[in-house]
Amino acid sequence: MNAYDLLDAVNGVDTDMIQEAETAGPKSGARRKAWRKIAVAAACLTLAAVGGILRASAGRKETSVQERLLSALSSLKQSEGSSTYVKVRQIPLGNRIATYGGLSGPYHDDAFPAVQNQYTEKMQAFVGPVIYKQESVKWHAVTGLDGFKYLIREDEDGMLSLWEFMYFITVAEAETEGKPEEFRREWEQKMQAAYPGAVFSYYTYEEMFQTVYGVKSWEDIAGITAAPSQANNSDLGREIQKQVGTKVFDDPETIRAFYDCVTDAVCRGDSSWATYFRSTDPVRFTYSFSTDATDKLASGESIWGERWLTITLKNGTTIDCLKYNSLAGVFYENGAVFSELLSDEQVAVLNGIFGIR
Amino acid sequence: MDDDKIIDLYLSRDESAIRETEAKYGARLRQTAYRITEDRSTAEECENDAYLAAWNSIPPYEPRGYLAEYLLRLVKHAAIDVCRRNQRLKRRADFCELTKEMEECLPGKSSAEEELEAQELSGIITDFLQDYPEEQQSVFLRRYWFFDTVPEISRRFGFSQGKVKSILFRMRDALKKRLEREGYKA
Repeated sequence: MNAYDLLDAVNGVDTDMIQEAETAGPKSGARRKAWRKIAVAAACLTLAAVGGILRASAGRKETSVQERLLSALSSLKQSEGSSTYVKVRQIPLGNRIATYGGLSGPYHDDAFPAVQNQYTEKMQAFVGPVIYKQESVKWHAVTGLDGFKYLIREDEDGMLSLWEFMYFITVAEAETEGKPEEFRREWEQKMQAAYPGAVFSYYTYEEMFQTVYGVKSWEDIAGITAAPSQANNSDLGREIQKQVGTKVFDDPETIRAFYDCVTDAVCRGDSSWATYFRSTDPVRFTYSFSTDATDKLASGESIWGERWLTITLKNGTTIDCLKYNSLAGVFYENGAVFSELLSDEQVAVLNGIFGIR
Repeated sequence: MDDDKIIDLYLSRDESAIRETEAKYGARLRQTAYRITEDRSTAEECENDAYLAAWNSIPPYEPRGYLAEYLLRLVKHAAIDVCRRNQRLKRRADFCELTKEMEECLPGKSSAEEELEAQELSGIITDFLQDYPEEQQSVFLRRYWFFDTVPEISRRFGFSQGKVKSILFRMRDALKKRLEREGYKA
């Protein structure tokens, strides 16, 4: 039996339950309004935090390309019927193959052509040069944006959609626990056939910063915002989040120290991170995710020891995928993207910056 | 056309049953299959497979009152089967995440696992879900039947994403234990 068999078995559960789930969830305006209020408040706080950095960035008075792009689309993101699920595509970027995720929106969703058209209309102003063409689909850079954090996809029917960089594909995808070496060789052969000359080794964040975000040195960074982990929102968790607080670091010395640590980190791309930790350093893994008998995160240590980072560049683009976990000694990102274990020295420097004891 | 009339067409072996099904449910079935396979032509094949399966199974089945769910079940089965067989399609991010989550429910391998028929397994999962309040049942099914993402479920129920993840984590863990009790040995 595998995961598909199990999904198929769930597919066969009692029809009454399916019908109940089909319409489940509160429909009252009160709860929806409450949710919206929270969302608006959160958005304001985020804007305030990012705004602080943006104001601090010397010499940049104009609104950044990223801000204008996201602002143009923000009104559409909450459109009724828009789909939030992410799709991924592989795009050659330099000698790497990058994975891009379709951002929240009605992409390719025939059920909502009106919203599709609105997205396309809003994005017209940002369509830059074609960087990759695949049959009748074109991938455009975003006009005025340094690097390739975002790409605009133009479908054969002229519809535009916005995609965001996720990670470079590495050989780690073929390093599944229990799979023979032959599996990896077959994977490499298949990928080389699809993308001749492409590189699938692990990559440093320096390479990612340069290729994807156009960051050439620490001087391109305006500031680093470190927020507490949101992974544990129990009462205890929220109390610790409050104590940890969100902090902004914009002095050159700190930025440089951070840059040196993060750019040396080696990223494995998308792979089985739990398997990696268990086989590499089970003690650290267990410690960083310890739970009590009822599966609750036990001591709040994951909040004390983890920071969710937003790196704001002087051109206004943000790198907001990185999370630093001092307990395991890694950077990780959404999905299964994570760095190899950082050295004790790197962990010490980062802990010093973020005030993690 | 009314669902009961469509079912009557199937029962009388009238081929217009498929045309009527397509007219009423085609878009939804295609969209469901596309959501799993993310490939237009594959989604259309799954849709056709679902029509064929409906034609072959009604009769003896007579899904009165739940034709939509019945057809969705058939198209999902076809789409999951395609993903199972096709490595390329398995790379779709959110479906990959779903299967990874499901893997957490799998007990250790044993010779007994091959013997458990899919229908029995569905029965066990139904039974398992009945131990939970309706809301939690629905959260589980929104994720693993409708394949909603965590943010979508969080919006639907007005829960934080952390709460949704927590509910799903606990239910997966409990399901694993339940499957072990049903004869699987870790």
